[in-house]
Amino acid sequence: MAIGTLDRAASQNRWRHRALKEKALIGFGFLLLALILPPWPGAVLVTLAVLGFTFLGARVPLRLWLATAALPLGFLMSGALMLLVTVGPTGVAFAPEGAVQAAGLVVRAMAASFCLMFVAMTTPTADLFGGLRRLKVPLELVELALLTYRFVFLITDEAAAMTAAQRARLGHSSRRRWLRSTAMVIANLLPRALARARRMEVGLAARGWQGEMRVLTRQVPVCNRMLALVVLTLVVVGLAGLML
Amino acid sequence: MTPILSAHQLVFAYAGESPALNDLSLTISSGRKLAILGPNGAGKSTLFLHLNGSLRPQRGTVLLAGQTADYSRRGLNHWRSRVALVLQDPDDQIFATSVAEDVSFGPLNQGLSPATVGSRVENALKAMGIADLAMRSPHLLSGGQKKRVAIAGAVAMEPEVLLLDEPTAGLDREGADQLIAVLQQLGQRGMTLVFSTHDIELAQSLADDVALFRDGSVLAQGRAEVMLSDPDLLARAGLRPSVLVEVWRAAQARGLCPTGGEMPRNADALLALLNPSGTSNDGSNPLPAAQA
Repeated sequence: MAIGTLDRAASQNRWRHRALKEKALIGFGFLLLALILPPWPGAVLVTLAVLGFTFLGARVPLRLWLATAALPLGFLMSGALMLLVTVGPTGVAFAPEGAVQAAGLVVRAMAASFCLMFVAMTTPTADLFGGLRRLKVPLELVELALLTYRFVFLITDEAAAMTAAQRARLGHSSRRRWLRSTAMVIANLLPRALARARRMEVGLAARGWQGEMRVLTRQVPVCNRMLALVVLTLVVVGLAGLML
Repeated sequence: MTPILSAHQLVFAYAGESPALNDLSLTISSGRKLAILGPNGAGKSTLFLHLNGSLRPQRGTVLLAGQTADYSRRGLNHWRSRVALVLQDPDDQIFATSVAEDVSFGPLNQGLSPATVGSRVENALKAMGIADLAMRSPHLLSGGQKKRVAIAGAVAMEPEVLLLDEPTAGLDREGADQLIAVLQQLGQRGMTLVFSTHDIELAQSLADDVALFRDGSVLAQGRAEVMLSDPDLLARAGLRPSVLVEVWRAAQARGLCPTGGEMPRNADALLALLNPSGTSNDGSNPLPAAQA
């Protein structure tokens, strides 16, 4: 599952203990460049730089990265295909400017996706939520996101267990049965999720919960040399993108 | 001495069901390890929810250090700081995105300073032997590890009483043994432990006292040695003595080990009783098989 892949990458990469600020500057700094620079050569340079940080710096496992990239790239390619053609009075034809337009779009969107993937695949969720709290994002939103995140895993596990149990009793042996069984899993998940939520309320209350989910977040000191390196790369890529 | 926590003639029924607690009385003595022993579905979890104020009895009273329980917001906070509860399924109480963060939740709710909370978290993780998991995501942990995280979350609040609902449920033998060892250590540090179980071997290896639980009430409460070696009493609770106790009794009847004395807590203790000199098998040993 995609979110599980992100989580694994975030907890395994070499930069998992680095400060959120450094990674956010890389991710969002290059995202900005990808959006404002002309696609050629700007977005290409951004892609190279971000992939450099992803693989040479953070050493994100290539297999996990490819699994994550497949989805946005798939969307991107299918969308770009549409730009290649035009619908005119004579029917469908190749668009004269289509290829150039499509290539520009693909390169830019790819660069932007890789920037976000860099942040998502190098930052443990605990650091992300800590960052949101420090940014003074309304607490209700952060807590809602936190619980959603936690429940995604619990509920996927329950759905997987139910599906396996159905399969063991031949519940998926024909298309018809599969449809019926899957419908039952979905129907069962809601009451189960609600029951779990109720039990969690008891569990949190037992630990003194009074409506606010405060936890002690770790804050890693920012490395100035790293920041300087990132800023330098941003400037070089920015200038090169404008001048080349 | 005033018991730290006690329940008097509790009655509680979930809406439209027969009573889950039926005239239940129980005394929890400070510094001891008490097993609530009984079959599943007998209302043990419901009892635990009463012992930390999560549920309020429809009749009867709960006393905290001799005082009638206070169900006001302040009263509950005070109560839950002194009496911590660990639910059976750790996923019902772990919510944060890293182990250390999750463990910090309780002590922060107690209003402690971040520095104090930090050292509480560190100590609790160390006590549970999971210091190396501090930065891990909870959903990447095994069942036994999650269980210890949930217990660490309670231990970090430094409660006087730790209530554990079926602590070894879902754990394999090794996980259960490790858990028993850390619970023993908590007991040695003076924490009062109360745990529910249907596993007589677990009660035998860990408990000082046992309360036999059946159909929503406590049939009898007393020292573990007495309760666990009385077949008639156990039968009334729908249980039977452990293999260990039966072998011990049979060995006593045949004069293979001294009569009376403390009930052996585990297999090693029984073997030591059967072979008091600890000599190797020289043919004169009455139970050569025990040497294998």
